[in-house]
Parts: sequence; structure tokens; C-alpha cells
Amino acid sequence: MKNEEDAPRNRNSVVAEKFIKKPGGDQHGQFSAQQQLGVFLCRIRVAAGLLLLVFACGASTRLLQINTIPKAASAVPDDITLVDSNYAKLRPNLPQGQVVCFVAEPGIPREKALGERWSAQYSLAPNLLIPGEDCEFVIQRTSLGACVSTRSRQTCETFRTEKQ
Amino acid sequence: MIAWLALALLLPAATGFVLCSAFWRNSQGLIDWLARLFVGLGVGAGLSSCTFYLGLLTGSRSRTDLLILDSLSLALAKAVSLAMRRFSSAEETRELQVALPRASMTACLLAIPLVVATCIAFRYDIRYAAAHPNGIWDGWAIWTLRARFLFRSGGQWRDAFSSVIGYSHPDYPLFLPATIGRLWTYLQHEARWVPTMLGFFFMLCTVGLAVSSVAILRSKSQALLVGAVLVTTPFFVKLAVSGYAESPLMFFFLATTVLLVMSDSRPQMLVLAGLTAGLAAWTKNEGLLFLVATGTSLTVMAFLTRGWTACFRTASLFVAGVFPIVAVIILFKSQVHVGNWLFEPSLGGGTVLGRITALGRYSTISKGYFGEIWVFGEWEISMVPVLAAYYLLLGRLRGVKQKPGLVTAMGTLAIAFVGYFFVYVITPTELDWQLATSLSRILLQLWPAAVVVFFCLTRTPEEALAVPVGRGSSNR
Repeated sequence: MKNEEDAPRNRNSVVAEKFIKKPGGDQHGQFSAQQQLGVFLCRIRVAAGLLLLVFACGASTRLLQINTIPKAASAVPDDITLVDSNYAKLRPNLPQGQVVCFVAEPGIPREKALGERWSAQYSLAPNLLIPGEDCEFVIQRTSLGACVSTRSRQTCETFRTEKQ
Repeated sequence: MIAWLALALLLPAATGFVLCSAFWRNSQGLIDWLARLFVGLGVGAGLSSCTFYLGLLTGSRSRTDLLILDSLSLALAKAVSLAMRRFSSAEETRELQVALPRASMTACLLAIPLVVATCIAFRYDIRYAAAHPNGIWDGWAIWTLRARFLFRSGGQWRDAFSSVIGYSHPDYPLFLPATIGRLWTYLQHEARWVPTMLGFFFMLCTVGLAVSSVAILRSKSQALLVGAVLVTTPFFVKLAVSGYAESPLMFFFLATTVLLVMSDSRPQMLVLAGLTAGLAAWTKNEGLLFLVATGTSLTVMAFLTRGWTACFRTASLFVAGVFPIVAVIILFKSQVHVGNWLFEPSLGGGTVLGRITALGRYSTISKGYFGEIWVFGEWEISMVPVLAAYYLLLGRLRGVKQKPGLVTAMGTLAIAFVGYFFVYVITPTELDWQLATSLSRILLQLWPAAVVVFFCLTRTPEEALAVPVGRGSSNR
């Protein structure tokens, strides 16, 4: 598939041999000097191209190294991991695969309420969460945690909110 | 548990490798074998996600059922391999045995920085995955959420496509959730590392395939440059462990591109190209656009260069690979009763036609493209002008017109690039927000394939150094 590469390399060595065998001065020599300049410029061009590319790659590698999360920080759970482990405690109180209502923390902006429901949905799947209170099971988010309420009883869990 | 995990990984790997070997005969040494292995690993993962989905449909959800289905897939792949061996001719075998070029001094010098950059990228990924074990927003809110439905729901797995969770785009294809769900089923628990490590695995396959394929198609030094450009693209490295579907999607785009380029000398590669293009469509809806782009570019190129008969033959080989996966996609789409969000009315009530005729959108998207194209990789120094300068300094490969596979690959990427533009035109969400949150990812999807095509088009350092007698430095 790719065998043409050896050919140019051989051609290059032929050119190099000419420079060695036929020094400048005669007609052949003038031709060789021109060729020598061509080869020199060509090498400069290739070296410049490679250096440019390696330098750009090196700069981005340095950026990756700088932005690598420190070992201690990578051990701290992120927000969704924290939320996930909090809701995991409530999962046994929910019926498998049933639609459950979700009430966001009172007084929070709409977008944050949506975010709360979506992260709760992630944790509580396969239950489907719908906004509102008109269900047999209702999850009520509070400032301290969340409660699962039915007509007969209520189970609450205090959420760990600070990253430790 | 380790034994089950080994089975879960080895069965699809073997299936993919055997299937690829059926169409990728006449191995030319270790590098060729590696390229085949990387394609095989991706194809195996893709096919196993299809069997997992078919298992869900037929009620075969237990670990033993999965084991049987995966074993059947392997047997089927072996049968295809044996059937293909019968059709292979001795003449073809002789034609394709070509010695690979030896590594030059340039290649040896480039290997060291590549190894260092790869180690730094791996360290970054491991720490990032440790800090974000659930991935980031789209990762957990779309892909892992659906995997949880598939794994936890039992018989009610179709709840994963309920309109109640419409924000998670229930019409998105199932490659990633099914692969995660499959591994969890084998492990019998929700190992949190699975989604992020899957992305990491596909990043490795992408880099491995890019390097090995360019080593086959061009030279070892060129291959090392491809590897260096990819592992030093910070956004590429970060996205791999974010739980997004971009990592496998990039792999399937790249695999299709590589197979198209290789199809010049081995036409049967088009079957594999069809398979990987189909798997791209099974990964994300963007893959559907890529599949159409590949089909269009392939048939147009075959018709223009070789006429109707060749066009028909080329299209047949490609369709043979695409067909099984498209059948699964059609089955999936028929099960999901949620339409594609792109065709919904916008918040202001605007229709698709209204959005197409709004000229201001074209200007906004053009500005977005122009602004993002320099920075989407989150590089320290933008790689786009660097590669342009590199191209000018080293020059282009001669005889590109004699490589229809390479031209087809370029056409595919160009059609996909333009196609993405028009997807933005019809998108119903607020355009500025949509561009800000997705354009960098969209451009990154094409990046590995574009880098490989770029280095196939550019002269290798060895070629550039070889100045033919009498041409001087103006040889380009």
C-alpha cells in the first residue's frame, strides 16, 4: 500500500552523493551548489514544520498538566455524586417502576428546581419523577434533605451537602 | 466477578476481531494487525450493544442469556469469516503483500515526546474520572440515566423512553446506554467506573487506530505526529472521561474514514466501513447524518471516477455492512414514540420552514463556526493555524486524484461539516445557547478523522526531505 517512501529516500541519498563527489567550480559543481541550497532550504522547511508542530503540542501538553486535578481534590465527590449517594438512601422507600411526584425546595428559582428534579431522577431511576403532589408517593425536597411521603407515613433523610 | 468481566470484554472483542478479519485479510505485519484489532474492538462493542438491545426486546435480560447471545454472535462472526475465506482469491493475496516502510530517525525522535504527552493525558483522565465518577451533565443526565433504566427496570425498561424525561432526548440511539447496561448485567451491579472508563477505552482505540492506520497508509513518523496532535487536544482528552457519547462517536467516524481510505486497495473494506458508519448512527443522531454523508460521498465518487457499474458495486458493499445496524436502529426508532426534537416548533412557535427562511440564523451560525473553529480543542496554541502552516511548509502529497478512497473520506467530512451547519439552522432551541453549548463538541466529533485525512494529504517529513534532482526547493 505504501512503498513509495523508500524511493524518495533513495533519491535523496543520490542527491547527497552528487554533492560529495562533485564539488563546486565546474558546470556540474554550479548545479550541485544550487541543489545543495535547495536541500538546505528543504531541511530548514521540514525542521521548521516539525518544530512548530511539536512546540504547539508541547504547549497543550503543559496546559493538560497544569489543569490536572490534584490527587487530594480528585478524592472529593462532585455535586452529582453527592446528590446520588443522598437519594440512594431514599430508594428503598419507593415502589419499583412507579411514577412518583417531586416537589422542589420551596422558594428556589425555576431553573434550580428543574436541576433538582433531574438530578433526583438520575438517582431514583427507574421511578419516573413528575412535578406536583398528586401521586401516591411524593418526594418533597427541603432545605435539609428530602422526604418520601405517602398518605400513611413519611420518611425523611438529611442530605450531606458539604464536600468532605 | 473478574471472570465475568473478562467474559464481558473478551467475547465482543473476539467477535469484532473475527468479523474484521473476515474482510481485512492479508495482514502486513504487527501494525496492520493492530489497526485491525482497534477496529475490531470498537465493532465488537457496537455489535454487543445491539445484541443486548435485542435481548431486552426478547426478554433475555439475565447474565446467562447475555452470555448465550454473545457466544452466538461470536459463532456468527466466525461463520462469516469462514464464508469470506472461501471467496478470497490467491491472486488478491499476492497483490496486497507490501512491505511496510522502516522507521526513520524522525520517527524515533518523535516517539519520545508522544510517549510523554500520552502519559500526561492518561494522568489527566484518571484524575478527572476520579473527581467526576458519574461524568458531567449530559453524561449522567442522558446516557447513564438511560443505562440505569435498562439495568434497573426489569420488564419496564421502555420507561427509559418516556416523555416524562423528555429533556434526556429519548429518541437518542442506544449504543452507550446498552453497552453500560450490558457490562452492569455481567457484573451484576452498577459499577460507577463503567461509563467513564468506556469513554477512556474508546479514546485509546481512537488514538491507536489513528496512529496504526497512518503508519500503514503513510509512514511511522507521520503516524506519530497524528498521535501527538490527538493526545495533546485537551478537549478530546477531557471529553473521553465525561460520560458523553462523543468518544465512541469519534471512534466510529474515524474508523469509517480510515476504512474508506483503505478501500482503494481492498474494496471489501467498504463492508466494514458500512458497519462502522452504521454503528456511528447507533451511537448518536449525528451519526445518522454522517452515515448519509458517507453514502452520498461514496456513491458520487464511485460514479464520477468509475461509472455506474462500479457505483452499484461500491454501494452494494457499503449497504451490506450498514444494513444489519440500520435494521436495529429502525426497530429502536419504531419502539420509541417520541419524535426528533429538531423538528419540533421553537419556543416562539416558529416552524422548521420558518427557521430555514430566517436569514439571520445563517449569519449567527457562520459567526459561531468562525469563532469556534480556532478554539474548539481548548488548545494552548490553536492547532488549526499550526496545521495550516505545517501543510505549507511540508507540502501536499502528489497523486491524490489517484486515491478515490481519500477523496471520498474528504467528501464525507465536508458533507458532515456542512450538514451540521444546517442542523443548527433548523434547531428549535435558542440558537446562541445551542451554539455555545454544543458547537465545540460537534467540531470535535470530526477532529480525529480530519487529522488522519490531513496527515494522509500532507507529505511525510521523509518525502519532503527528498528533493528530486533539478527541482530545487520549490518542490511541492
